[in-house]
Amino acid sequence: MNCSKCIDMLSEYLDNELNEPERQEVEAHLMLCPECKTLLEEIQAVHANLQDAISFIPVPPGLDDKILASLDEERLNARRQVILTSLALILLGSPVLLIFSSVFSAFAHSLYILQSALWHTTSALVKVISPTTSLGIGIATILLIAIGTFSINLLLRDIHSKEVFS
Amino acid sequence: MSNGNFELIEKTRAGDQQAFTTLVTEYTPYVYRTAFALLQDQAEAEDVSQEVFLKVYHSIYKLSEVKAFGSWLKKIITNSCLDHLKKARAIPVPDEELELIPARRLDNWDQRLIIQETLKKLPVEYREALIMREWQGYEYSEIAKLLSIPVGTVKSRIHTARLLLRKILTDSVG
Repeated sequence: MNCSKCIDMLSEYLDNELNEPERQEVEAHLMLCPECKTLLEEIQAVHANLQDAISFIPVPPGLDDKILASLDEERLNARRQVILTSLALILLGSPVLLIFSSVFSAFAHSLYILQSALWHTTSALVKVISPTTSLGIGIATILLIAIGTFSINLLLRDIHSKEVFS
Repeated sequence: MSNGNFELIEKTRAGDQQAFTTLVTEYTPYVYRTAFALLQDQAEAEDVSQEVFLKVYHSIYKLSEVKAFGSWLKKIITNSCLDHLKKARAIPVPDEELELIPARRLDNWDQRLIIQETLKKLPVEYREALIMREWQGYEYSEIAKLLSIPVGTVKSRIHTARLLLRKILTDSVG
């Protein structure tokens, strides 16, 4: 083994990442080569110095308190979220309760009667009005819808809806 | 990192709030130092420390074996730091800048500062591999898996980073 190959393998040798024949080869070279042995010792010193340097990285004072405070806040937020979700579910589900209310059934019944009366009135009117008048009313309605749409377009022309809603 | 306070970990796992407070106080220095060594940024290291303990708080009950706490915590720290590093990949410092570290006789504090400064200037790819090996004690195959790179790349990054640090240290002492 030459020095270049040995140097390339020194890190793996230190980290026990070599297989047995490779390890023996490196050790045999180290026995004969003081330069490579010195380099190995210097790399070992890097390990020790690095451990030491990281161990002395100053920790910001009160960091543990800050972490605990953020956890408390997180717990509080989680609790608040549960309460808000429950409240929202109750509010969303509350209309279902109306089905069981007599007020709701009376209201629904009135709506049904009103809709039925309107339907009968319309049927009676259709029978009385002549076909020519019906056609006139139909055309007038279409014209009114067209004029209405045009007017709304005019009104909204200066409003930049995309900017408002984006 | 101390891995032996099993009673404390067991109590925390069981939901004891006081034990969790003690656990945070006890492990904050290790978590912060590891995060700082990898990220080289105080604010980011503080953020990661908070994230780590939040994950610990939410998941410690899933830990099946109390003895695995050390490696479990180590993995949470590493993954959180790697996520932060992915979000902000630092521009590698040219090798010439690494040579600018002053050459003079050093005491222990000088040496620590020089190493910390060199770590900061080391390209992030080399730094993460080196710290994961030297400080966190991961094997090459574990580092390769965590970083999603071939084992051969891990070997060369660790070796290059060590040679670079060794050069700076020997130059400084000499």
